[in-house]
Amino acid sequence: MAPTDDYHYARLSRRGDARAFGELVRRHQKRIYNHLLRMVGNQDEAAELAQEVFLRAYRSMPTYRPETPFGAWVLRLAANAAVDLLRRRKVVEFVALDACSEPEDTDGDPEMLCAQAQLRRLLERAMQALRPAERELLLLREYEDLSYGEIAAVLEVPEGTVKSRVARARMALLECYGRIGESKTRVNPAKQPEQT
Amino acid sequence: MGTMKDRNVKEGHLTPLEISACLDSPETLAASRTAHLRSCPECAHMVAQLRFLQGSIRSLPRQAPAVDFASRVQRELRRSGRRAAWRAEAFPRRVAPFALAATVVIAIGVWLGGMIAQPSPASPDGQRFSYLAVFAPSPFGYPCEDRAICNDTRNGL
Repeated sequence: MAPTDDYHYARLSRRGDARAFGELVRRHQKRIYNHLLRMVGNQDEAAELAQEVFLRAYRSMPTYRPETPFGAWVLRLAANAAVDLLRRRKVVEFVALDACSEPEDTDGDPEMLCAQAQLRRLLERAMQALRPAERELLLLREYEDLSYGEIAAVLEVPEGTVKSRVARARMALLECYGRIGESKTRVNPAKQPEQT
Repeated sequence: MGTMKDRNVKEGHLTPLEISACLDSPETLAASRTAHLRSCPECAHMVAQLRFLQGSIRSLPRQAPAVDFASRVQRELRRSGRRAAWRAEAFPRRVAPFALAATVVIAIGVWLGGMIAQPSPASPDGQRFSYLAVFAPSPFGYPCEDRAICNDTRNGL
């Protein structure tokens, strides 16, 4: 992503240039879609919500300040939309992501791959068991790899608050993971999958 | 594994914030806390578990949305743009002030009409205007409900 190009396209979009906005959509669609998918746990809902987020972004372009990175701004809209949706749902239902996961890498030791897949399922269940706000923070920090400052900008809260909330969310995830995995498997750092 | 609250009440262990800092930038941890981490298997285990989870989240697969996602958004933008244009055409902005003025004039007219049709009983001329209540029911044989007024009117004429 090139922020300067984003700035250029965002300025054009503010003047109502739908083509320039289309370019912004193409640049950020994957990130927004994946964030929403991890938040709501359902492909169709994530796609629909992502579309809604971009439409809302386009309509809100007159209020967008170009000094704010477009990516962070649209991620904020997505985060709010996801939390709103989960609030409307009232019950945080568990939706397995197995069906929508990419096909497994077929190279390598099948036993190891199976163990990794099982650990990933556990992790996804633990993530779904978190409160939406905690899940959102962990996704922004670990999955999106945003700095604390960037998360503070996205969520419009002080950086110190973000740090303490992330710390709490990490502890909550550890507890959920331990609880869910207790009967199946234990956290085993030796089997940690390689980071991409 | 005990709960975090249980753990937090124990003195000497790293706090959640310190454990979290270990994941982000271990070098920011105070020397005394780093020493504790080296000597405390419980804290070290917790940090290791969290590092494992952190790595697992980072390695979660990323998927591309549908290939036509961007074009669908653009199509929807064009459609909503047409709707907005249609609304603007149907009710152009320059008509709005006239519509507002007309509404105000009608409201004033209704208010004045109400004042005339329903005079205050305290008004000395109230009776003179009461004949404007044309829809008031009149008893059979009497063209006017209030004979006193009718007589006054006839006398006046």
